[in-house]
Amino acid sequence: MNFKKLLVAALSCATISAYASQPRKVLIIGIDGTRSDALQQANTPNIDGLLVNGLYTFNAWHCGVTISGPSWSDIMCGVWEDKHGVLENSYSGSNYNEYPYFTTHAKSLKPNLYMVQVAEWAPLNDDVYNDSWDKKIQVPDGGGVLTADSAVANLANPNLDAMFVYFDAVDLAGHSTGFDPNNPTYISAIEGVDGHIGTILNALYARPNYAQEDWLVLVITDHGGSGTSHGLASAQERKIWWIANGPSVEHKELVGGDPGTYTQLYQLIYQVPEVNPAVLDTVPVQTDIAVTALHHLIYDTGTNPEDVAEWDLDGKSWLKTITGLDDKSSVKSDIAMYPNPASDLVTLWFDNKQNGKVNYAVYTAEGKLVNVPALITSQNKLTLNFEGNADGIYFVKLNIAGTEYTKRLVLNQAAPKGSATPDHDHTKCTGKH
Amino acid sequence: MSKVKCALLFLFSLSIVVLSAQTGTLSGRLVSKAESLPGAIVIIEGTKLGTTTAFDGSFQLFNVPIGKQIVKVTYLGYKPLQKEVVVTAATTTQLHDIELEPDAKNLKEVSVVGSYKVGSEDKAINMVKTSSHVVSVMSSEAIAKLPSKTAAEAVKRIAGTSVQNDKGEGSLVSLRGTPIDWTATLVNGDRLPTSDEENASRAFDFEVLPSDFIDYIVVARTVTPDQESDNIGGIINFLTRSNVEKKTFKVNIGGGYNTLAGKPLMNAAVTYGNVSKNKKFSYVLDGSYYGRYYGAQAYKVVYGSNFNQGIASYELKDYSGMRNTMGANAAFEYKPNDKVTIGGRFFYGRLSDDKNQYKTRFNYSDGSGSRLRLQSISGMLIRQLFGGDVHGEFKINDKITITAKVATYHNSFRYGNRPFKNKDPRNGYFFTEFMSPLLYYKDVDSVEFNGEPVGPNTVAPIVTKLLGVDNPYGTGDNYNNIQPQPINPQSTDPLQAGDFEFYRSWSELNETWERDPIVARVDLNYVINNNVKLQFGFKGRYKEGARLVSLYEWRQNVPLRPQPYLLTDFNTVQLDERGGFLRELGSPYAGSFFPFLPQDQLLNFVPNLGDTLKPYEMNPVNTEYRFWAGNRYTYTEGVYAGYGMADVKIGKVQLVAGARLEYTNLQELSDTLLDSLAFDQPSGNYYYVPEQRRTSLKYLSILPSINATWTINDKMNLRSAFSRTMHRPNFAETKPGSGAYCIDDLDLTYGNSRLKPAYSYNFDLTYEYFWGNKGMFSVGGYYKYVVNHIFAITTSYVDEIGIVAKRYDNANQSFVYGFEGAFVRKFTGLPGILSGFGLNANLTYSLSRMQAPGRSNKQAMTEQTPFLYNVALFYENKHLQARIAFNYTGAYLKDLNLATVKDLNGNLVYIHNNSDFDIFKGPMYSLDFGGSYTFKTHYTVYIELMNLLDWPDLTYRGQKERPIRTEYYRQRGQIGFKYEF
Repeated sequence: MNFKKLLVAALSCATISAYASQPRKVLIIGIDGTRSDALQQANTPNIDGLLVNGLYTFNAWHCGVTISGPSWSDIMCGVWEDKHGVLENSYSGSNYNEYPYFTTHAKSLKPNLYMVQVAEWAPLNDDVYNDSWDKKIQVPDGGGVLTADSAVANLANPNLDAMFVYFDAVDLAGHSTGFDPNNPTYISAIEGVDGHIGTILNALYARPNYAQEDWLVLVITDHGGSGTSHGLASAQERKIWWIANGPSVEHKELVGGDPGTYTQLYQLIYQVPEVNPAVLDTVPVQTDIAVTALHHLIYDTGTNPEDVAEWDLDGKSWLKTITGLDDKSSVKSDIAMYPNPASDLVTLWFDNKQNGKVNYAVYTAEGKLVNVPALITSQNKLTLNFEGNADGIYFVKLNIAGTEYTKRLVLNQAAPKGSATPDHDHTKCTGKH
Repeated sequence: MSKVKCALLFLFSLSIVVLSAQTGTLSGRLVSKAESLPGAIVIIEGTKLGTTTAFDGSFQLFNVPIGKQIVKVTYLGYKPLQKEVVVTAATTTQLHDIELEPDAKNLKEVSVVGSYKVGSEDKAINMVKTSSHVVSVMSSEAIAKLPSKTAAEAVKRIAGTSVQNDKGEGSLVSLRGTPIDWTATLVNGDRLPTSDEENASRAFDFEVLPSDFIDYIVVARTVTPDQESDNIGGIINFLTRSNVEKKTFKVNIGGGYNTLAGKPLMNAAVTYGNVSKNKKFSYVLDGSYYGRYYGAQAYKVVYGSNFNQGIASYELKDYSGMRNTMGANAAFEYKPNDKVTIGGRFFYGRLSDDKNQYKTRFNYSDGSGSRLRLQSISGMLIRQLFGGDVHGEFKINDKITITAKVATYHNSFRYGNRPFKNKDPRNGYFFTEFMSPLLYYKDVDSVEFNGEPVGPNTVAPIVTKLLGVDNPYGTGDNYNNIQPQPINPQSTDPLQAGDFEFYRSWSELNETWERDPIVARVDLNYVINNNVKLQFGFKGRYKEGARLVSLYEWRQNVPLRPQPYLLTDFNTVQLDERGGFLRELGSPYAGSFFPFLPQDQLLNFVPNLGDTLKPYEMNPVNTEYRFWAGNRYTYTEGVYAGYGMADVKIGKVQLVAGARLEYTNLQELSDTLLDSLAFDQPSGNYYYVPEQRRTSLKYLSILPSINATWTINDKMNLRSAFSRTMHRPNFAETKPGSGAYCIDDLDLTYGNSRLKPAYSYNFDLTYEYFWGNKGMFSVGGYYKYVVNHIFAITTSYVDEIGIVAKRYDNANQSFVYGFEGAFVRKFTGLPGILSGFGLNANLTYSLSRMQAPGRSNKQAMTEQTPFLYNVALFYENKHLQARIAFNYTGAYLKDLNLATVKDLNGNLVYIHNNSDFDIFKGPMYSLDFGGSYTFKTHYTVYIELMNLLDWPDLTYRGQKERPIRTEYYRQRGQIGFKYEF
């Protein structure tokens, strides 16, 4: 540890008492391979519960290679692949000694933090180093129930400061049956993980000192998918989402543009533009997760991780106390609707804290009332099926507890459907060699 | 139940009535040159008394009027014989051995030369003619004539058999084109235990059984109650050499060449047998060795979708290997007197396969983008089979014979010393894989999700590779010239070896064994008179087995060594294209291969990299264990059977009728994984706790059968049969506990602890015509109505990762009917040298129908070959033997695609209503030649040329233009020398 780091550490110790009234803690939930449009279509009451009063985006873009190893490194290190060096799931080429997980930065300032990782995918436990987790728990791949149970067991520890819980089932379902919002098995995997998230959140809310703690909950995916694969540059693979929920973030939907990619292959072959730093500064991206989580954890030290030159972080903090948040061009919206244009299914999210009555009506551009059945209605979610209606412009009118909202929708029904089969690294059964 | 049977039997033994005083008994044995003649007709002139000789040539005639009688013996291919005997009242007149002389006039040159004996087919025809049910017989002489070294290939020429190959050698046999595991394969009357690393079937894999010590092969298409059940398709019984009639010494040495491997073949066999001076004791010993290098070149296509025909990956596979088959056989027979025969037979077979593969895998749609993966693979596959029996025959008196037999059989598969030198639990089929950087494939198209062309309304096209027949733009590759075009976007240079980095090493582990420690039977024959024979018996078999499939993996220890290992960091070897990789298709990949690891580099790969690799053992604590828990099980199975049957002659009609009762007690153990939390301290892993589950299946099967033969005249037989037969589910199908995942095939399949055996009601009608000693032909038809057909059915359970679970169940009724014909004819009528020619041909045509789930029309059963035929032209004279054989097995449906999706209401619906996504086995054509020349009586030279057509092994999806696998083996041949004394 160099002199400057020591100095920062000393400073932080001195300032702890000033901010320590509510200990700030972080829970990050990672869901591998979950397409943004599929998440919106799935019935996920627990995730919805986080976004209705959280800061969220369904329209963020991946700036690197859409493979798990590099992506989780972006998310957990707060830097892009040229810095952390991970380009493959083999994790070869990694440079965690220079660009570690945010947890290592946090510990450099607050050595007493107690941090736990619960991960289904073995490389997250085995191939990542210099990550400062106090405990790395390996659970079965795609296990879900055990993952949630392990997280719950560790959430009971009053000293817990940060936890990362990782679910693989959605990605596995995508590889085996297709990454596609129209693939019911893919959707049901998302809904299954949502159930496990509910279990974890209940355990979080049940902590004896929960009322005295300031938890920031972050939920994110690493990449999307197309067909039964990912790793290339299609919009379905590059488009991602994330949700932040807690007193330290505002309630907003962030609607950002595509900042471009750092990955040469995508620039050369798929004509994805090179990263535009001006756009990158204003839109939600994956490296923001580590920086926001880190900021929250070390908030009481008075350090803004974006300012620590030595850490050389690429991400941004989205904590609401950061000045100039509004400059990051986020559009606040009380009602979110996705996808738009839509092929058949459209989901609307809304804030209905009073649990009031929700009515809806759909009109054509000419003002004619159309009968569009609702597939899912919940306290804060409505999914409509436009299948069979003519392509064109529609208006969806929502009446939530007496307040009326209108959303404009473009329907274009020539969208793909269905699912497909996988291809894996090696034989997992004996077949003809 | 068995107690009741015992009591009945005892009563029968007591109630045997003494002989009539007016008549006597005649017994004897027919031989020729110290060889027994089974199936000969023996009659007493001027009476209606007659019988046929048994397997050892013996016969008995009862109620023969006393005094001078003339015994007439007829046997195809031999001179008829008349012998005067004097029969005395109430005693047995023993004729001992009666020598028949070959019919020189018809056979022209008759001589016994080595094991190549002219007229050996006669014996087989005689046995067919006089059998009480529908059989085919092949003798050792006929086997020896064949250019084949595994017992499976020996069966190939019998009417209605089809043989599945493994790397160009026969491995599995089915009758009448029915599913492989419907056919019972017996050795000396006992169904053998099986242990196949690739599938859990009860079908016996013949690769381990050398044909050298097979004496007879008897194929029965209809069953009788004295035969073991589980034989819906029929029975193939291999009889090992059990005795000799005289001092025998045979040596066979051969050498040859495999044109693809570019390396030799070698075989050697020795037989020695002798008879004691008093003729009471005889023994025979056989040893055989067959070593051969082999090769195979193949391409494989993996389709990635159930909604379009897009290709997920394309593989070029190069195999090279060496197989060693070693066998030994020992048998003895002791006849202290005319009433007692005691014998023993023991055999041992071992096949080791040193199998090496280089695989170039173009992944269009990988787990992580588009890639090219290079796999160097090596494994030592070892199968071992041994067993034997002790048997005895006790003639209590002229009318009662008791036979008894106790046997044991052991079959096992394991991987030998790869990659580690010594016995090591990590030894298996060992892979090391190097992976390219992210690639871009030029040979792809944008299409709609269903494969239709992209149009103005397309919102989200998919990018995939489509072959010619499926490509909507007409630009797809020809199915036999698939050309992946990978581009490395990071470099302007083409992809090269230095771009590949180490990804993973792994061993596929497999330990599969099955043994029948004790198989015991006792049979009682009671001859009431010449026209009525009764037979009763019991048989018990105890079986135990295990199938333990697992994985051991090594991945880079990144925290210790973050830098990648590049392919160029190791010694590499360029692929030997061996005169052109897939040159049958025009060598479409010449010069385009990337290097691989040579074998020494591959086998030392893990030790050389030391701590920079991290091992992952597959145990309950492993994060992927739940994909494997269902692949391990153990079992025991007891089968206890009793039967009774009567063989009755009424005029020209012979009836064999009776019933068999079989009681089966199956106990099977496997694990399930509990959804409860457990923590492993050493690894810090949470895991699912395994808990044992048990299948306990007990059932009684009642299996009646009746065979009727109407001997219209000396030349014609008409046979009909009815039977109820069963097929037991295999042990993967009844497995308890977790489902078995097969991620490659997207399968999660559960066994079913309550699965019932399948039963078939069989009807047979056959007409046989014999052209004296020139040959025969037969035509016949059959119908099988199968209930409780065993089938993997889609369940409503969807696993957390989205795989729809299947479960074995008793499902659809199905049926198959077929027509078969066989023809053997020697053209002795042709002039001069041409008279040595003959033709042997047979064909089977069948039609099957089953109702597959989700299909609106009934369709052909899976694994049912609709059409197969064999034609062989042979030539025989005093010195020269030659045979050229052509086999055809038609294409058939192998696996149904029963993929499902959930509809909007959450119901599972089948995606496919037709066979366009089903897997088919392509047609198989083969042409083999064998010839020999004998001189100075004892010496023979022979030549064998195999796989002359070099026809590939084909698998495809829906139609042949959509290949799954195409594999070539090229020709091989050998020349050998035999000495027989």
